[in-house]
Amino acid sequence: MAWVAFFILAWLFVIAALYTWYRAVENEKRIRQVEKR
Amino acid sequence: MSSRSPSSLIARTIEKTWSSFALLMAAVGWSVGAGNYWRFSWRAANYGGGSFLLTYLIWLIITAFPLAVAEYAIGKLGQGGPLHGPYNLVERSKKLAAFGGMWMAWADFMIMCYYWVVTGWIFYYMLHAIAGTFFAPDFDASAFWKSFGFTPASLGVGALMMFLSILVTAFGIKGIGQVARFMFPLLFIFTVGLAIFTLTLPGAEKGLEFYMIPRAEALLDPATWMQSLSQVIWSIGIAWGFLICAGAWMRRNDDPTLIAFGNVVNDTAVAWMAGTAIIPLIFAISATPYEDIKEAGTGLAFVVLPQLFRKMGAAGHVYAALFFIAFWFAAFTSLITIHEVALRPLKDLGLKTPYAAVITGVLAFVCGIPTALSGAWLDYYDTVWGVVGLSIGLVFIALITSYFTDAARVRQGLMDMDIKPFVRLGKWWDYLVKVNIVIPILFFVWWIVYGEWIQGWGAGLHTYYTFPGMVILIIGGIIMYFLVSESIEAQTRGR
Repeated sequence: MAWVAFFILAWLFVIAALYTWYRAVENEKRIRQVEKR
Repeated sequence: MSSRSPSSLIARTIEKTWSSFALLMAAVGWSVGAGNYWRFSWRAANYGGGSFLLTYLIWLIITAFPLAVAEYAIGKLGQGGPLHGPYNLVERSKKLAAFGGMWMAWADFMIMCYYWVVTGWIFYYMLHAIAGTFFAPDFDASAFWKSFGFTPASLGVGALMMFLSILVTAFGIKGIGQVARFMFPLLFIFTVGLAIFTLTLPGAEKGLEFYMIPRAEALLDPATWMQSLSQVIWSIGIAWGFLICAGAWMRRNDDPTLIAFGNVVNDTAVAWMAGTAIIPLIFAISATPYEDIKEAGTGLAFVVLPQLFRKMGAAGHVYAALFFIAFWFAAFTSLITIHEVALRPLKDLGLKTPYAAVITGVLAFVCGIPTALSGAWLDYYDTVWGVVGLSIGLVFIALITSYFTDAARVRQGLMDMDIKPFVRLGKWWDYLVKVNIVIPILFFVWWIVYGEWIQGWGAGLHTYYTFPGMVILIIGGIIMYFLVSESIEAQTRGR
């Protein structure tokens, strides 16, 4: 069943990758807020 | 020298639409290229499958993330490219630090010598995917690859890629950066789709077991560790000098830990999904998968992908065309960026961009001709520059950020932002960076000793065969050192 762990991990990488896209957009909002102050 | 060089294509793209997302896409666009499909499937299938994945994962944690952050730090805090970034950042051994940065650009140039060849293969496959060649009833993927790979035709198409790269880097073409940014998400989705499709095929589960179950004997072989280390840094693009340039473009509040994490997970997601699409498919379609993997060698992805699209039926034609367009764009934009990093030291030494682009482009083409005509030469170049050259670059990143200067000071500089960092770097980061001063060297020595003395001289690695390449590597490095010394001294005198 070792392959199941890797299989899940491969999909976790996909989710983490998509999460970094979201975080980059969120970061930009925060940077603009901070720069406005 | 201004760090935000307007002549850089990627920098121009980021500056125009400057945002964290643009920066992330530029960074990820750099990471994802031919390496994720062509090199990953070739190396993973030949060096242990699941054992390769396990060691890959370990290198991601120990080496890739900490050193990607460190390489960004050199550019962001040193405010310069591969030559000036390290020089400005460190407090001692400044010349050696600048030499380390130049070494990365040197390894980048040597990899460019065969990267144009692979970009040419992808371009050729893209044209045939659009034309529908893969869907002819009597199409034989293996024969198709043999009739093109390592032939004068492959040299010709590669030459066209190098010519286009010279044009783009010398004069710039508006809009290519924007198209590339939109192409990466497309390629990402297509790759995940391909992996899901392969998993639905009968017989794929055997391949998935081979691809994902670690085996003890492969874990005890240093070649597995060395090849997975080189694949991690090759694919993500660490120690090529590009992350130093990208670090220099960052604003104060751009978070290097988020971008480095983005490099690692986006690149690995695409590579592992490409592996899931390619390796299990061989087991689903072949009665002798292990022999087929050996026979296909470096062309594995090119033998397998057309067969995958054929399995899709009518939709396969459209999918293949869109996939190869996105794949070629990813590889071509990586080639341009590799070219931009390679010509950067010449620019730093005072040469104008078009001249630097032509000189590096023509030299890379001439030096790469053997790799376009012979798989053994390509493997040879890749072992010397891709494995050894980049590993030495890793040691330099670690030395520059933790030995020639105080790692804690670098870390504090990185954490000095008005926003909360994605990963809060602590002392653990200092230790991980320091560990990487010795790790590549230890594994390299283990690899050579095991390969030549234990397996027998010439039986395993043929390291003696790579000695001439290593001599070129070292001589080139020494020449670079003197160039760097001259340049740095001249600039210091000029201040």
